Amino acid sequence: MRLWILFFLTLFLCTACNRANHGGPKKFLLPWADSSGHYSLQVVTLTTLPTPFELKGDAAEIYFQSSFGAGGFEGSIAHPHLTQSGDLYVPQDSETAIALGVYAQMEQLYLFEKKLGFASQLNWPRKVGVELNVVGSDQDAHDNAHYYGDNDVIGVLPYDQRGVPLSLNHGVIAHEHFHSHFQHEVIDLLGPGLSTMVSLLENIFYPTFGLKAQTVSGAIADEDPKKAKTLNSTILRAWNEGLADLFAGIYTGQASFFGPSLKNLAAARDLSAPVQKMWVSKDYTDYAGKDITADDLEDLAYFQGTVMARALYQMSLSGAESQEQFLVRLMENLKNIPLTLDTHKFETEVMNGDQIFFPLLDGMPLNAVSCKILRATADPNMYASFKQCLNF
Amino acid sequence: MFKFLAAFLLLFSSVTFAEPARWGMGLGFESRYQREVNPDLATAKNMPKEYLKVLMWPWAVVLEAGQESRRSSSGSLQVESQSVNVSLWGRYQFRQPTLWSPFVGGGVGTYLDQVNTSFEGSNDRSTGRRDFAGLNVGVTKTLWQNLLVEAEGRGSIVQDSQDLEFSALIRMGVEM
Repeated sequence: MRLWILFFLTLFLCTACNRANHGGPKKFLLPWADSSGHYSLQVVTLTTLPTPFELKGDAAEIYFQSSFGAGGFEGSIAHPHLTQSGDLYVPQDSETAIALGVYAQMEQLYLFEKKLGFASQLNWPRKVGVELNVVGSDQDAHDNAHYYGDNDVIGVLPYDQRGVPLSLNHGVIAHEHFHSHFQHEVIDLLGPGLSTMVSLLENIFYPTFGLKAQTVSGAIADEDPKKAKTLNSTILRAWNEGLADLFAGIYTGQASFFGPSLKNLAAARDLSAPVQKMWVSKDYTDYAGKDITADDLEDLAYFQGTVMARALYQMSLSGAESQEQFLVRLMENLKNIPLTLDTHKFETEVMNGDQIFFPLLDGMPLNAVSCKILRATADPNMYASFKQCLNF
Repeated sequence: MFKFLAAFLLLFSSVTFAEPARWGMGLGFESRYQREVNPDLATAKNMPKEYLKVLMWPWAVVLEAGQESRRSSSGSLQVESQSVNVSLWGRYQFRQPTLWSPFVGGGVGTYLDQVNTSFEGSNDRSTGRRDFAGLNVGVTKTLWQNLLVEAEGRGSIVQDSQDLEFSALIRMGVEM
């Protein structure tokens, strides 16, 4: 009889722990946004995750509450806590729901970009740190997200408001993801000296995260906000932020995707708000003549980025072509941006903010609506360079 | 649950062994070392337990049940999970029950989970199951013929998880 007991136990040991569906699509109950931008609990099917118990697949590697070192995230890939209800995996805690939700968003982005043909601009899987541990004041260590170009990773900080956590906001993740395209297609192609300088100057905007090496922090502190290279970096930053908002707006189909998470940004970054003129070189130099700080430049970068994003978003809805076709052309045209920058004058002359339109709209069909938006946003000289608009 | 009770009664009915069985029951406390979603971090999860034991020296079987719950949230996302743990453990005791006796064994069990999730006005209540299997070592003694005291260490693996879980238990009860 004792042998039977041992046999029974051995059999159970071998079979009880092998119920998972390894490989193939898997269903998860996740906090998710539908196509209309409404957030709720939904059943989401993932196709690129080999096992549900480690968040590493073709689309992304997810790290949770990890710290950040010189080489990227330090630590191990997230292991979700799940229970299985039939063929549905259900997160047992909010940490799991958030980490899985980020993987699911990265998978959706991966499939979206593969469908549209520009996924090859990046190396996949992408690395994302969720609820990243950073050093800083309470305000700086929460409710924000950032793409770290030096390490090619996305970091999302903990969320302490009452809405949709930033990690679950499809627009926020898409926004940060776009920065990796801008890094690869624009900043990295500016030339070794200039791309390093731009990366260093970008850290003006993130001085409190405490993530960079001391030598870099020292370099940032020495920068004068009024120098041409600092203002040009601000303009590059504006383009980067604006295009990231545009990408996220088209990808989510939502002109105001920040609203569910950060109500204070909803109106300021709403892509459907009226368009206005972008700043040109003189506007920047006049502004630099005032008593400005790095914080002022950060605000200016986001403001000018939004002005540009609104114009492009509304042009994408002009009907000249579909929004997806517009986005494909725009992503393909990113590589034109560094070609049109006069990098030799980067440290001596301040650029026009609207000069990005020329490389970015190259080859785009423009109709009366898009030309009207362009005229309202760009300097007359820039507008005149678009021959298609002369007919309207 | 029914499967465990059936197995327990089948294996330890009076016809199973030639010698009469000694039955015991009581309370235990398990402290489990569980990895977080970041697997580099771990926390101790504590779970009170009830147990039923049948001893036919040198063999014994223990049926255990316990319950734990956890609430977590971020923004409008809230998750409340409750788990009932039921397990069946077999063991070999190296010495007579009246002496401090080391034992080794193995067991199987399941967590019966209920998860209530709310997010942006939507709610879900799901039930699920996670099976587990493990090995254990410990010491046991019956004091004054009827008072059972035990301490035990366990290593187990939960369904498909790549993480081993370790736990420590103490038990106290009556045996007759």
